[in-house]
Amino acid sequence: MAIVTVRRISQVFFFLLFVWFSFVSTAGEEWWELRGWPANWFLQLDPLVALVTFLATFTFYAGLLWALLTILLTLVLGRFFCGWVCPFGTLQHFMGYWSGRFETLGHLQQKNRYHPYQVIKYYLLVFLLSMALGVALQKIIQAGLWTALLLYGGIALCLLLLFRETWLGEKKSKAIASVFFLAGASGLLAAFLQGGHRILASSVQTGLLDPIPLMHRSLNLFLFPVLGEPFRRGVVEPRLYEGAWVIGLIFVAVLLLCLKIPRFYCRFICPLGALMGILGKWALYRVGKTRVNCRDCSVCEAHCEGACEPMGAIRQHECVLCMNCLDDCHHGVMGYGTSRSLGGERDAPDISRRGLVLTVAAGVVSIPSMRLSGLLASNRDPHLVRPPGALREEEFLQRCIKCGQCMRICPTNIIHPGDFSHGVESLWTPVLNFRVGTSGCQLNCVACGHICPTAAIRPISLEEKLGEGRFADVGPVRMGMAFVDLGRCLPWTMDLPCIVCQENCPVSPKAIVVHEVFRPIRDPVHRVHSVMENDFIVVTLERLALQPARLATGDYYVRWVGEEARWRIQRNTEREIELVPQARGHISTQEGNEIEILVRLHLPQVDPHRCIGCGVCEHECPVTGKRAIRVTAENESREKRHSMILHGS
Amino acid sequence: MEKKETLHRRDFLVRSLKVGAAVGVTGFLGWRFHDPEGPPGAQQEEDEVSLPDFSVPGMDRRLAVVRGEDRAATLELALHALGGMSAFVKEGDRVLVKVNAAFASPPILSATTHPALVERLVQLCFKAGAGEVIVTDNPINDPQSCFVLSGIEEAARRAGGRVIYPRSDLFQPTTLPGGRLIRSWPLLYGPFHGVNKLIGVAPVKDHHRSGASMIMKNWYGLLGGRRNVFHQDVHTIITELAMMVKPTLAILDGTTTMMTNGPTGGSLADLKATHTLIAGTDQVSVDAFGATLLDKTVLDLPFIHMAESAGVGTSRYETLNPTHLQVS
Amino acid sequence: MRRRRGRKETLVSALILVILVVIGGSVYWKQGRYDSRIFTFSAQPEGDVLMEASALHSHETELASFVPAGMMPFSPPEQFHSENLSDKINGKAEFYLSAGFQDLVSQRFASESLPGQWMEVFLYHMGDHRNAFAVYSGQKRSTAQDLDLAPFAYRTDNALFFAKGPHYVEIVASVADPVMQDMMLAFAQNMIGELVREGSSLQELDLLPAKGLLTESVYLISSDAFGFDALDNVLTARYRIRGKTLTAYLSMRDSSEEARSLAVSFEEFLNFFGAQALPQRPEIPHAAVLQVFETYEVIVQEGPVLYGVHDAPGLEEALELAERMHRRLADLEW
Repeated sequence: MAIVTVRRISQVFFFLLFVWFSFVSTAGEEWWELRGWPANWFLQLDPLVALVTFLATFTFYAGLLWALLTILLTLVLGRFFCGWVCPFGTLQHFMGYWSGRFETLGHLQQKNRYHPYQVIKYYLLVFLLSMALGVALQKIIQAGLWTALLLYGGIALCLLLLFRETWLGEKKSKAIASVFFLAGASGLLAAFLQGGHRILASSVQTGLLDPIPLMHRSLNLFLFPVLGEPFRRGVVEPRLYEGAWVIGLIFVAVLLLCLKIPRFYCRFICPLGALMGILGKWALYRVGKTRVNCRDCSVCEAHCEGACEPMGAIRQHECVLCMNCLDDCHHGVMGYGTSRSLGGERDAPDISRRGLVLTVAAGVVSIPSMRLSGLLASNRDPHLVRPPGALREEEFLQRCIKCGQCMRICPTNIIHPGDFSHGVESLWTPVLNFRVGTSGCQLNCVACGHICPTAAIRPISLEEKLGEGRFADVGPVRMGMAFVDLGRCLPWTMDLPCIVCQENCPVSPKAIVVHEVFRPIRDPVHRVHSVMENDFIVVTLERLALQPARLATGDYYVRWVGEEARWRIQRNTEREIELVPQARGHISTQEGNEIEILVRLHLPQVDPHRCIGCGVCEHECPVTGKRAIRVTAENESREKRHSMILHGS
Repeated sequence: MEKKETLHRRDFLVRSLKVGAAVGVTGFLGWRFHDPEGPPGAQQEEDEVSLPDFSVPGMDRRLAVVRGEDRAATLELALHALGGMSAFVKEGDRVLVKVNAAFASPPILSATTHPALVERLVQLCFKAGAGEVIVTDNPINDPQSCFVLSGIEEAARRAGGRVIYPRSDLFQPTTLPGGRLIRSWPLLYGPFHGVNKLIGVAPVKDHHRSGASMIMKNWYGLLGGRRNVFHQDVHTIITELAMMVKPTLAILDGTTTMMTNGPTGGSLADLKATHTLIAGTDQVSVDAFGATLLDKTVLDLPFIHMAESAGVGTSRYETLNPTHLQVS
Repeated sequence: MRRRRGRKETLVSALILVILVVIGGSVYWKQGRYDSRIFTFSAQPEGDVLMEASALHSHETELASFVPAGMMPFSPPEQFHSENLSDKINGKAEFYLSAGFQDLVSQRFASESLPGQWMEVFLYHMGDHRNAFAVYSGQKRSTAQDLDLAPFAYRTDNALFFAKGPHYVEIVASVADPVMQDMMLAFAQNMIGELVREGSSLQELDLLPAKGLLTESVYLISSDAFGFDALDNVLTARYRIRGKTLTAYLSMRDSSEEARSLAVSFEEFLNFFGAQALPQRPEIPHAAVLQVFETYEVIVQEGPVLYGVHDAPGLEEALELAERMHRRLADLEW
């Protein structure tokens, strides 16, 4: 069996597996729902996820250890993941193949030639990783000024030794290198004096470009919803995701670009591919010329997926082990083995040292620059309500890889990809929108935390979420606080009876209490023509003043002007009002008296000690545009600084 | 051919070693930093701190009341009556003076500690042999403007003291044992490093929520976080503050008392020239006497009785045999 | 065009295919192993979960501690008191509330190996064993199979019921499956071992003559027996005599005087509804015999025991049953 056949089988296998895993990420126990499917396996295998969260948190969370397997295999075999496993790569590969089916060899060779811009992905990788360096640098600083300087000096020395040819060669390089060294040292000093808090911070942003989260996101938020979600449990309305069109656009755009340049994303953008390329530098097995009888016919380069120039000095860091060159070569020159290619090799990308240092600095500085807008401090966005179990914002942004799994699994469709309004770093991170979906956050659901691959949303137990048992004195997990908008709430401002929010509040005792008030309706006063007390008690008015049956809902009362007592209205016509039997014998039958019609209103008020910000009230509020009760992030339990009420009160 | 093979073998070996090392390092990191459960829930961050007892043994139950217009003079006389500053501040001591710099108000409005008082107090500390005198507070308004516009910053500097501004990294959580409100709450602890004497100095003010703001209420300025939330239970928080902070000395400035519209005041009409300075080691007694300057009684100020019940001090200041003096 | 495939290449290809198969198999195996507690939200009923326990009647029984091997908790425990019992069992609540209900603890448990199979356990605290027996006997199903699990225990195809001490327990399974039945039995056994050991014996049960007794009809009515509100704490049982079904009843009162006055007022109650007194019979002296339209009533008081026959279609049979009861009392030296 040809190796390329197996490669194709492998690609199809992992692609289907990936799509299946994304598809089953819905809460439930049927075979098409999550059950025990290891739906995060690809995210766990992804070494970029493990690496960047390690840099930001100094932990490997749970299943992320799978990444070690990928790293091990890559160290030994090369970029097998790109060519054999990565589903995004497979998709692009297919697009490229599809467009190139009937093209000439010459045209194909042109398309698959190496392009110098393929080096961009390495800069992107370094930039993204540098954004996560803040915590590591802070730890160095916390170790003490002299330790920090020593370590810094040590690292600089290592870099110097490793790249001594370049540093010591050109004078210009030496000057620039010294400048950067001093700049770095002063930056470190400044950071140290400041306690490091202002300048150094970590943010995980690899999720934007890492293909595994990207593909999960594109499937979960764009493709599946657009196709209609056939098997989704209890779908009453189509799933919606704010801003998903952008995600879809990017996805489709990349695939379309692949029609022009095969594996466009893999070659130019993919930071995971770049990481694999770096890891594969010492690979024990590599593709290359195993025979000396190469005719330089370029047939091997026609279908080269990585655009790695196998005919010349093969660029090992670009080779994705597609094995097409092995298969295509008529003379059996190409092979896969332990020797280096007889035609020569390049095993490291063309990154300039200057560029490298600049990129690192840019990455490290970018995060504090972004944080100047104070969105993580006093200028925080009150509409940033995160799912229950989410970590404090600083720590959350050190873990979230924007994979969209939580958004897919949420049974009520209230988790949405955030947009720029919550901050650049919060793009596509989970934000709650209670207006959309089938209800607020369900009281007994803890699905989102259990599917998050990096524990940006912690896997809390139901006990912890409800504040029971061991967590009774900590209290329930609060996502925010509901606030009644008095200017929009129907009973408060329009004298329309409504207690939908209080009825639907799911906690016990309820977090919404009502105050009963009686208010005169519009044009409340009428003159009595006569009163009849027979089987029914009917008050007839002098004029036709009422809308028939409008007062019959059980919320309307009659009060004789000058008296205290109120009597509920059972029915009414345009001129007659029927009162409850209890009124018998207590009302004045004199004609000419004036009565006032009152409406009984229950004015909702949120109890801040009970409200957990689940948003059910907001979702059910009949004022469907801008809701009359809205949840914002005050008093969220994940951030003590945002607490609104006293503990233990 | 052989050479090529040897070269290949050597290269392969080198590569194998590098790969092996890489695998080893990654494996080690993976094993060492593996976290199966994820981050913990309740924020178990920094270690909590607590303030030590700054009172000087043997100097308790002292109270002096001096009448006079000039703060520097009344202060000196009061301290003399208590036993002299050197009875409290020893050679080499690091003293922290907790002023009331809550508002960016000019000194004449008497909403903050008077700079003349601060200056003289810092000078007297140095005279008694203090090695360093730190002046601090966590104001309600912008710290820079508060310290400058109230004149405290200049006064402290002139006397040789150092103002420490409430930077966010100077706060650490604290819990009052048995307290209901002060639980893991940020405290302005940073300035206290190495400090062994604490003097609280505050003006006598009416306060809209608590009735009065004097020495015990002054400790509110050591709290961080969203502390306004405690206003819902203001008497309890004042009591807990008084339980938490045990100063060396309490100096209550009633030279110009803010009788109404406290704590910000704003008009000279709110003030009354009561020309009294109270100094003592029992903050409850000091405040109890201060209440009289506001024409209020202990019954009008529940926190005084609550602090007394908690054992902080006594509200019956007469039992301390206060020394009454007059600056001639 | 096609080149030769080397043997090494084929071997490697085969190996990789094997790996893919292993991965597929592992994934399939993994999908069956999960903690269903994460998905319980879908099975939760509407209504309050874990209210604050009322100070007076709060029973912290940990149902999960009785779980047998092979089952695990499937939903959080719930507790209901008088005010919200109807949230759980709706109209049935009245039945329990009038029988001295204190509180209910319930929880669902699922089979670890068989998905979709679960059971719900209801533990009612009824205050004392008479109340427990009352609600037990009052809803005994006709398809009951008695169990020797406890004196008062029976099961049906998908459920198990028993009363022990002041507790009344129902275990209802989602399927009528023999494996589940074993599980329920194991659960019940664990519970019985731990629940209050006080005796559940009802003295009155002994007083029922055995001949002709339809055992599944034994029912302790807590209150309002036969529509008469003064008649409470009445043990009733149906008998079949010569093809006719009639009800015997007896009630232990506090004293002879009380029993006497209750007998009198019951007779008056029946008279009010048109009963006609019949002449006394020598077999059972001081028994009131009445005819209410087409049925017959017998009321007897002996010491503190009030007993008799109710709703009998035939006079002879009624008298015979009353006599049997009289003799039974005499045998037991009442």
